Amino acid sequence: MSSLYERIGGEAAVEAAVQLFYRKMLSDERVNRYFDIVDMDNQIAKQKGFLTMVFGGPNSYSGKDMREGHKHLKGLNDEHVDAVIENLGATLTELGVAETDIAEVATIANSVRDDVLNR
Amino acid sequence: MPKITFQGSTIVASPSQDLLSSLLDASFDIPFSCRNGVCQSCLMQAHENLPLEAAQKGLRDTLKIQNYFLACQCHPQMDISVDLPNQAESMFSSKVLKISSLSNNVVELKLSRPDYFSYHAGQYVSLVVEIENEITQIVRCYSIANSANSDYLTFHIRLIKMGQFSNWLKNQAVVNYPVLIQGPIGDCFYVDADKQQDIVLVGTGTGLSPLQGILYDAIYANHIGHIDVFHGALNVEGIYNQTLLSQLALEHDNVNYHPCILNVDDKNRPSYSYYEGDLIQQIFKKLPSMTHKKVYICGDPVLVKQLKTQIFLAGANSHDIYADAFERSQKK
Repeated sequence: MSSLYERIGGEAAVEAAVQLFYRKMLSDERVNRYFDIVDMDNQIAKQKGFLTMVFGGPNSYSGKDMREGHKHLKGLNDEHVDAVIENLGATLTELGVAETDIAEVATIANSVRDDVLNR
Repeated sequence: MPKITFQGSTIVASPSQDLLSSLLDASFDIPFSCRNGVCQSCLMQAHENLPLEAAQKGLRDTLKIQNYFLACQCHPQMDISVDLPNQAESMFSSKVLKISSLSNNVVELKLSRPDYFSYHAGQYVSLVVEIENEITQIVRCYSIANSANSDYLTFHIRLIKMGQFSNWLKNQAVVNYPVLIQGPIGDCFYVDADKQQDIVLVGTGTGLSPLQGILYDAIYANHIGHIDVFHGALNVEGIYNQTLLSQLALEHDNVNYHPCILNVDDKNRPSYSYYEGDLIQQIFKKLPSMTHKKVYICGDPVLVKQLKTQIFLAGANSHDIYADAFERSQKK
């Protein structure tokens, strides 16, 4: 059986998803204050790293990276992580990804929740 | 085995390794993070045209054309000479050809094009001038306003009260005055990867400088898609080159020119057609969707930042948004 990453569509899917996903994040009042668009390419690159990870693709992001990367963000809580997972699900639904696969992606995203929230 | 040249040193590339690992093993300090072709931290530039496609996935067209690639994704098959981004630029000697006034406070500076100086219109350079009777040099960045197919370079320069470069232009710059050029830098330029794609050019003030260059290059390449030029100004005096741009729009069916003036004085209404009011409102009134469009935004940093977000949210792909924020030179 093919891997989650392959089923979603691999690197091409990450490229398509990152545009939709980042657009949703920037439009989402709950989380958009954490994004400053000065260096858009850099932020898109980071989101691609994140998406590759939650799609179960080849990546080298560790829990430690997630912890370090979010430590400086003040007031980050469960609501924000929920918003991310929600936007992630909406993005994948839009791209026609199967619901069971979306659930699997959400599980991976949830697994780094404590690292992101530094607890 | 292929050799890698970096910062004057040459090492042998290990066939089993990517270029980043080879350089790191040789104790060079190269920024990196994911080592997976995603984060783009290890962006480097090759000095020659080499087949680098495999190491260029996810990069913008303007970076690809300048031989940028991701070191962690590159497995050298032949000798390669590389640099970190923007280290490869050199100095060129040039001289003043002409200085002409475009408006009350904008001047066009025309310089000779140095031999072997290649650029894309819209990129910027540092101009270095020596002040007579002083030991000081002035260094300022300006964007190239004319097509890459010319034997000269033009720049739109806003005159600033007490500005050093402005004073040089007013008091000392004469024909044949020597100017050093460093660069070119930047990825705000035309790429003819897709001639059908619609292009939107948005600029405030002398942000028109790179946009005019991009427009010339697009026309020269026989671009087919629509090209909309929005030039924003606070008042009537801020609009310049209006005749030239109207003429280009007349000559080319796919080119549209929209001068946008925030406040128009009743006593000083322009004779040409223009839009009065907010630039951003006008852009989205004319073009509600930015999907599949290539957008260039140049000029005021606050506006550039705001527009970048709004244009992305209006559907443009992030790779298709090129921005150049003009920061004022800071006093020492």
